[in-house]
Formats: sequence, structure tokens, C-alpha cells
Amino acid sequence: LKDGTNWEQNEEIPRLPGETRVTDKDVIYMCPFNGPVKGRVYITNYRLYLRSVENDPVVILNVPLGVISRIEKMGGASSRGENSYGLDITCKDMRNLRFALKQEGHSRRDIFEVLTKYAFPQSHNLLFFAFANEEKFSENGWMVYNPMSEYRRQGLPNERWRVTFINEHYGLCDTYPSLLVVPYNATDDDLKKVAAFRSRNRIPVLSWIHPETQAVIMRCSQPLVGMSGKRNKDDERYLDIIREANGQISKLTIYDARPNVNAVANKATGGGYEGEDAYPNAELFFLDIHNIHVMRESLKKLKDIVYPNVEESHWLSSLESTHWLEHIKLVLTGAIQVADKVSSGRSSVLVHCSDGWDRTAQLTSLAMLMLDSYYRTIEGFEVLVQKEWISFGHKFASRIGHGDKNHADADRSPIFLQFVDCVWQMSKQFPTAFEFNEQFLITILDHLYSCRFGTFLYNSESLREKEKVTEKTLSLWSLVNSEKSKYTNPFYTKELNRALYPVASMRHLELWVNYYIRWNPRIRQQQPNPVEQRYMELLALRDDYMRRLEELQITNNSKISNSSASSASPSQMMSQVQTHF
Amino acid sequence: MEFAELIKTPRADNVALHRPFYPAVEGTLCLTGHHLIFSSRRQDNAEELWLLHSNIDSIEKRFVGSLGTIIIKCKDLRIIQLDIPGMEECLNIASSIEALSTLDSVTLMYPFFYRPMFEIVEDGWRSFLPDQEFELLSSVTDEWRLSCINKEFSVCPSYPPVVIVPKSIDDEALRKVAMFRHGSRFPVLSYYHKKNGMVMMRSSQPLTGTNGRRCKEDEKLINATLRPGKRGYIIDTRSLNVAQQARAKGGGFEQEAHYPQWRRIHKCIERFNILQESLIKLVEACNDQSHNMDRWLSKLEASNWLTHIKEILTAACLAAQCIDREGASVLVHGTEGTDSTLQVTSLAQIILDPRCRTIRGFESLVVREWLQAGHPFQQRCAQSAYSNSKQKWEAPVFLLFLDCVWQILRQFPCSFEFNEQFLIMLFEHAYASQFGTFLGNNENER
Repeated sequence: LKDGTNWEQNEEIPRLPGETRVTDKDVIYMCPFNGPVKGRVYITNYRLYLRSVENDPVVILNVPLGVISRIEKMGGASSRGENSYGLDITCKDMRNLRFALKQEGHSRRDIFEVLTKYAFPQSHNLLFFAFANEEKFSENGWMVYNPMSEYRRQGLPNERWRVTFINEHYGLCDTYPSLLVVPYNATDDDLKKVAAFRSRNRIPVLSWIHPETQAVIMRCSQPLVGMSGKRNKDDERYLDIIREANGQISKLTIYDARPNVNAVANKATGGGYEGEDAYPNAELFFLDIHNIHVMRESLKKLKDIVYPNVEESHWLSSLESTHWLEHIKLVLTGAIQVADKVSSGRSSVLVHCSDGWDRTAQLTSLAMLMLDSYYRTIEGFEVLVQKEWISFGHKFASRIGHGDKNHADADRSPIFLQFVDCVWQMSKQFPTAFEFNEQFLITILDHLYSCRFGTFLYNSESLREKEKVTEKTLSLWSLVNSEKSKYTNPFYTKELNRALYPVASMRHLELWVNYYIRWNPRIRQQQPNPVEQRYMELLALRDDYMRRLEELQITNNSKISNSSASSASPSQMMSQVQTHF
Repeated sequence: MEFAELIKTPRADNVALHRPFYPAVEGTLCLTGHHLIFSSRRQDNAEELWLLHSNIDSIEKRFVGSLGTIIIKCKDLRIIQLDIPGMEECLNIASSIEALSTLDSVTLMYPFFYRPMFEIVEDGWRSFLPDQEFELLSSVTDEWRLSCINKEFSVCPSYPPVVIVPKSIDDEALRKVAMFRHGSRFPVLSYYHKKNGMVMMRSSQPLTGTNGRRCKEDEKLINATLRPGKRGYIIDTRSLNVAQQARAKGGGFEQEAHYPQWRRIHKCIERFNILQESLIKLVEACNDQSHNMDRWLSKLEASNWLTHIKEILTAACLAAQCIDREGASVLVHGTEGTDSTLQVTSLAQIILDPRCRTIRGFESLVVREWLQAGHPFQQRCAQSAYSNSKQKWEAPVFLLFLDCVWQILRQFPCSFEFNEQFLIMLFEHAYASQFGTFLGNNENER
């Protein structure tokens, strides 16, 4: 058993329960690092698997079909040149694959069709592999997130905040979860009126409450101000109720994640931002984070300089010109401002962008990660992702393009990847603050694309409910939580109530080489991490000495009791030793 | 000369000290012959700053009314600002600092006056003597001998009195070889690789000139390190082009015809003002406070600092691989053999020999490969990144070496006994110190 994968006897390839073989073929894998590799490729309803036939050691490719974004035919029947006829595959995880086939007899036609069909099931009226997956895990990941218990953990509801079921059947807002937390003093009728003034009815609701200051992080979409500068009394009153809920005299802080000009431009399409006249008790700041299209182009540029070859000669300026780290910096800077306002500023904040499902999710979830150590545990992080991203309608299906052949869809964007990168940056700056390790984050990203689990499928809670995702598929957290040790950071030191403010300066941000350049065998860093390894050795040594000490105490005790002399109790001695570590 | 002559205002009160990341402190400023001393003189929580004049790289004066401001930029890259009330006091203090920080005579430097406040448990001057090194060597091989040919620094002024050379080469031959090498730096043993008995030697360039002079003794000397039928590598730290140009000035490189058993490889490690300018650009980028247009990465790249680091590390890895993987002996030199040569030979030893990664082993390496080998610390470290006056001999050669060590340490965090702080400490003391270790340009001067 390896990576939850069963190797069936006498079989050439690993298969998951529920995974079925479709076809196989002799190909030449055009490896960008080692040159052409002769091998056999196997296609199942879940993966593309290649094993080389001549190389030693054997070259293996094991690619879930979900990561494929585009399949192209390369060369024609009459193309000249060796290995010029075949398939070009673009992947969502920072690599491309190229296979050369024999030129005679349309040899690539069937494999192209099979690949296209199973890589893009949505475009072929097929179900995702997640619905066929029959894996069994000891933990049930769907039980990890229960909104009611998460709000209770935060001390909600209380005398100022209530839970409302107004969206139980997604009647108020079809991209919000069914359970929402709103100010006690706002009635469900008020909420309906506010919904009419917020883009896609995404009204301001509570994401997180500070246990001491009682200041809150609220999230929503932009107000529908439009060119004429419309106002809505109910929305204005609602924001005042939010401000008062914290007993706050100072103004409510609104963070608009967009650059100022973009927010203004949105007025043309009916959107906009909270004007000073209409909201005298609020203070608005723009956080200058760019939209999904800018982020998509930035990642594309990053891929260009790291795959297949790393741009060596002008590495730093090339990296700078992708602006990827600068975008990371802006997102982190925004989240720091939100966290600082709520914590040090003791003021409630309202966060939105245009629709409130991309940049808003980044900002609220990162601010919560900075303020609440619970979210830095493995389970807490799973809850955070379930809550701020999955339940609040980050459009995973559209942003990733799960099973969709339309590779150029303008809705695709690496917003969630950017969030995970920010988390990684924080974990680099605070190496003891997170219970999970880098592998945990990489695993999440791998299965963001793989479609092996139902976790990231579909755009909203209402759609997932319709497709019965929790009944028919497995959760990614089942995999993770069944094998927690693999994803645990050995340096983790549990701390309560410590806010983490990362340094969001270009001098401190790093490119996440272990993720973005992991396919390049020449870039790979020392594995495993020598410090981690040494630390584990020391821990093992400590355990060994503790055991020996205990044994000695037992023999000593029996001697003492034999001679009935008095001495320090074993527990006292133990505690002395423990202080050394 | 008395220091007092240079100090017109020995003391000023109500001076404000500004340092980055600290709140401003008010207190008294005193000047002594070697130090600038600032004390907050508060009973509860007195803050004191002792700054060696020799650590000061440049100073700037500014006046707003009668309030004078002196900005002091240090060789260890610190920047501090002093606000001094009174124009005359401020001018006096500034001119004293300028004079005291640019004293010419080595014997006026603080190390000659310093009385340590700690108990000396070990005399560092006697910790790493060549005899001890040789004792270690002779326990594994008898192919080498200790030569006292340079006893009175009569053969090579930048070499130590004793050097390790092949046993089969007598002092008479060495004298001839010295005539054939730039600055008389004839090939000497730098490192013996116990695993396979291969060696690394270092020297300066051969003085072949345009008409291709040769020296039989030189050929014999370096051939003495080869096993029968084996080839060796000469790593020239200059590009082929630069090496060829050197012939016009009497220098040159080993011609294949005369050294048939050696393969020459040219690496391009920069020298002198190119490195100094790189450091200046790097420090400029580091001190850039502007937040909006953060062009950190391209500025870092434009400084070329990391490119220099890469070139040095690549050459050192090459030398190490020749010795360890290829099982070949290596001779390293550039022009004088006092800068890039030492970077390569010392880094190769850190790569190959775990002993050099201990605190004591590293100290020994610095003594052997930098101090005794005659790296001109006084010339190279006279000024740092802030100095306005352009001089020819400054170059952060040793700092680059320390940075390379830091890069290796980052990649192999469990392989070194010392930490980052140790490397920073060496950098600081190389530029300004109460200890005499890095004074002078070679053993002879010391």
C-alpha cells in the first residue's frame, strides 16, 4: 500500500479502488530533463501512468488526469524529423508533457480521444472520478467542518450576534452557505433588503470574532452603487448595526481589496464602493490587489521562467518581472492590515472586493490564520478552507476548470494557489507556528486539481448539495487525517492567542521552489530536510533516554523499598529531566 | 604624535543618537584616541555605544541653525546619526573623527593599546603554527617537507617564514621557481586530501611573458605532486583572455607544451574595483527605504554580488571535484595568488574537509589560507561600502569568501559547528577590531 494506492497482483500499474484501465500504448516520453524516454503509457479513468522500458532507474510518470488543462496534437502525418508527431499536454501544476508516437496509421487518434474524454469528463457528460472512487479511509473528512460547532468555538451566538437560517434553501443567496452569523439587531427582513443592494446578494456576514476585543471580520460583495451613485438606507443602517455590535464609537473600517481605479470602474457595471456621504461612520481603504486575470497572467509568466528550464542568467529580474511575489506581497499586506485593525485597532472590519469570493476569501482567511492559532493546526486549517473558501462559494469549478476542456476560459485563475503560497510564506517565517508541513500544502494543491476527492468540486455549497457530493464522494481530509504523521511539522509548538504578523517585504518573500520548480531534478533541494532529520533523531534519543531513566528508577525504587530508605519520588526526578528539553 | 592634538572637543552634552529600528537616545558624546563613546548616562538603564574610529567608513555633516548633524557610516555597514548642539562643537568633533578614522600608522591602531578585560585562556597567536600543521600531515605522508627558505622573508615577502613543499625539491630549486612566479609566490601545499592522497597547491602566475619563458624547476616542482601516469589540473582564476593579456606585462600561464601532464581550466573570478562597486551597489539596494516601487530583486541582480558568489563557488566546487572525484592533484592561481586563489583554495577545503567546518578548523583555515598566505587585509579592508574616496586596493574579497561559506551553511545546515554569527563576527573584525589578527598585509608586516 503506497499513497493509498493498491497495487494489484500481476498488474503493471497502481490502481485505486474504483479505478479502471482504459487503454495503453507504446510512446516516447519527451522528457525535458533527460531527453526521449521509451515507455508504455497506461490510461485509466483517473490517471495517466507511464513506465519507461529501457531506462535504469525506471522513469515513472503518474499524473492524475484532473491536472490536464489542454491536449494538443503535435505535428502531422507528414511531419519530418524524429519524434515530431505526437501529443502535447499542458498541465495545471506547472509542467507540460510531450509524447511522441509512431507516425503510421493514425496511431495517436485513439489515445487522444480517450485522454480527452477522461481528462475533461464535464465536456463529455461523464462524472468526475471522485464519484467512482471507492477508497476506504479510517477517518471521515466530511465530519471535519461543522459550521455550528465552528461558530460555537468562536463563542457564537452571543447577545450581539445570532445564527440565521434565512439561507437554508439558498433562497437569499445561492453562493453563500445555508448557515450565517449576523448582528443580533438585524432582522431577517433587514437582511433581505440589504441583499438587494449587494452584488449577487452576498450580504455582509460574520467570518470571525476576536475573543477579547469582540471586534469582528465581516465579508461581503461590493454595493450596487452604479453610475448614478445609488444609496440604500437599509445597507447603510446595517453597516451601522455592525459597527455598534462591538460597542464601537470609532468608524467601521471597510477594506476594499481592489485598486481604487478598478473599484471606480466597477460602477459602470452597476457595482462600486461605499461612498463617504452615504456611510459617514465608515472609513474605506483600497488594498490594491489585482483581479483574477492579472493573477492568471502572472502565474503564466512564472511558469515560463521555471519550466522546463530555469531562467538562470537573469533569474532575479525575470522573477521580478512576473510580479508573482509582488502580488503575494500585496495579498499578505492586505491581510496584515485586516488582522492588525481587528486586534490592535480593536475595530470591526468589513472586507469585500467585487463579488467577494476571490480576494475577499484570501484576505479573511489569511487574517484569521494570523489571529487565531486554531487555524494553524491541521484540523483548524481544514476548517478554515472549508469555511472561508468552500462554503462561501469560491468558484473552484470555474477557477480551476475541473473536467472542462475549455482551457482558455477567462474564469480560470490561481487564486487559491496564491492563498496557499501566502500560507507557505508565513510558515517559512514562523517555522514553529504551524502544525502542518509543506507536504500538507502541496498535497492540498495536488488534489485541488486531481478530482479524486469531492472537496474542491463545484462552485458553491448549494450545487454540492444538489450533486450529493458528501454522500457520493470522499473528502480530501479523509486522506490527510488518516495519515496525519506524514503531514505534521515536527517543530510545531502549540501556542494560544499569539498573533503572527509576517513581514510582507520583497526582501523576505521567497519563491516556493519546492512547489513551482519541483519537476526539475536539478533544482530539487536536499530531501529530507537535514535539520528536520536531526531534530527527529534527537527526539528519538530523548525518548530512549527517558525510557532508560524510567527503567533505572524502577530498579532503584525496588532497591529503596527493600532498604526502606526515603528518597525523591520518581515523578520529581522525571520532571527535572524533562526541563532540559 | 599625541591623540589629544586631534581632539579639540573631547566631550559634548545633550547629543541625540539615532539608529535604525531604535528610538532616539539623548546623552553625552566623548571622543578618545580610538573610540567614539556615547552614553545616555541614565541611572536606571544606561545605554552606551562604543565605536572604534577605525570602523568609520565615511561621515557627513549637516547644519540646521546651530544644530549640527553628523551621519556616520561604518565599515560593518551600520549607519548612525548624531545631533550635536553648537556649530563649533559639531565641526570640531567631525574633523576629529575624520582625522582619527584615517590614521596612517598601523602602530597607532587600537590593537596596540587594547588591554583585554577577559582572562586569556589560550594564546591565539600560537594556536595555529605551521609546525603543528605539518606534524598532522607527516603522520599520513612523507612526500612533503617543511622549508625554512623564507626565514627572513627574503625569498617571498608575502609568504610566511615556513612553507610546505614537495620533499624532492630542494631550497635551491625553490629559489629558482620563486624567480619565475609573480611576487615570488612559488607553488606551495594548500591542502592534502587524505582519502586519496591528492593535493591542492597554490601559487601566483608564472612569468612567461610574451616570449614564452620556461622554468624547468617550476615544471619539476609541480610534477612532483603527480602520481605516475596521472594528469593534474591547473585552475586559473582568470578568463583565458585576461590570462593572455597578462603576458604583455610579463605574466602569463602554463603553456601546454611545457606542462603536458596538466590540463588548464580558466574560470572568471572578478577582482578589485569590480567587486568593490558590486558591494557598494548591494549595500545601496539593502538600504533603499522606498516601499512602493520595490525593485529589490532587480537591484540585487544588478549589483552582481550573487553572480560573483556563484563564480567563486563554481570554481571551488570544480577544484574539489577534481581532487575528490577525478582523483587528480590541482594547482590554483590567478595573477598574484592573494585573492581569488585563496577564495578557491579555502572554499574547496570547506567542501572537502569536515575539519574545516568546526570552529577551530575554520580558524586554522583562516590563519593558513588567508593570513599566512598573505591576503593583504589592510589594503583590501581599508574601506567598505560607504567610502567616497576611490582607492585602488579595496575589495571585499574576504567578505565574499564569508558569504560563500554562509551559502554552503544554508544548504547544509547541520554540517557546521559554527553559526551565522561567527561569520559576521569575522567580517566585523576584518574591517575594524581591537585585536591585531587582521592588521597588516602579510606575516612580514605583522
